[in-house]
Amino acid sequence: MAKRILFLLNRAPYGSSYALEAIESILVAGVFDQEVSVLFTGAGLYQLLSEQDGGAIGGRTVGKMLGALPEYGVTELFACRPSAERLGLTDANLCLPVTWLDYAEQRRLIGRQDVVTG
Amino acid sequence: MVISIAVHGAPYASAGSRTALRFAESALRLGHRIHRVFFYHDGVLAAAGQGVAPQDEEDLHAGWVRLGESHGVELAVCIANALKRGMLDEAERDRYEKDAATAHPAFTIVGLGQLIEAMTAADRFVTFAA
Repeated sequence: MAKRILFLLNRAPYGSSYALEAIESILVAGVFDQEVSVLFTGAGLYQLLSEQDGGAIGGRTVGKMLGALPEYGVTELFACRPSAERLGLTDANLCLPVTWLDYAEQRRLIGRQDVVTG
Repeated sequence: MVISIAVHGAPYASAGSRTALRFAESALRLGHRIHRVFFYHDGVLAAAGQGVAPQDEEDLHAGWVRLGESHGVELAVCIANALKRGMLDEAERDRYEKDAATAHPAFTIVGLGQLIEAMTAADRFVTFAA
């Protein structure tokens, strides 16, 4: 039976390998037909910036990998509104459409899950 | 209860590996079953068979091996994360024609599907972040 799995992405895209490797696991969760959601918080919002080019530093482009999520059946993308306000980011800066959540809405999203992981 | 565990942090560098080991040992002691421990990100370095623990610190690698060999817990290492960090079992050493197998045989090198299976097959999935 499919499980509701939420991935919390809270790390900047290029400071470490965490973002890239986390996205790889999210794509596989999509392939395995789970009910997958993703919540971007804090510096993790930078993963969604448009105009990224990981090739410039010899790596893959995190934003482009995120762009593959819908093809893998992962369409429930959420982002922390207070984080965006703190970082000065809006929809216009992002490469994918997200649903903005305040803290109470994030608590409810987390509460609905079978699994919450990073 | 059936529990799966994810370990994201490297032993010693992150407290996560030690905390996860303690959690696993306690869960077994309390009668729970560990379905799988999945090592991801820098967590894969727990498999390093050539590490030497400092004399005045707990040997975390030995702790994980004990969990696998004495308690029959599956210790699964993500293949993509392992290869780029130099963690190879004998099969991967042969495939990539490297000098040595660096992962202890108590650990098995597996694909990411096993991470998702670890989530779906367990009552609880507990992540120890880096």
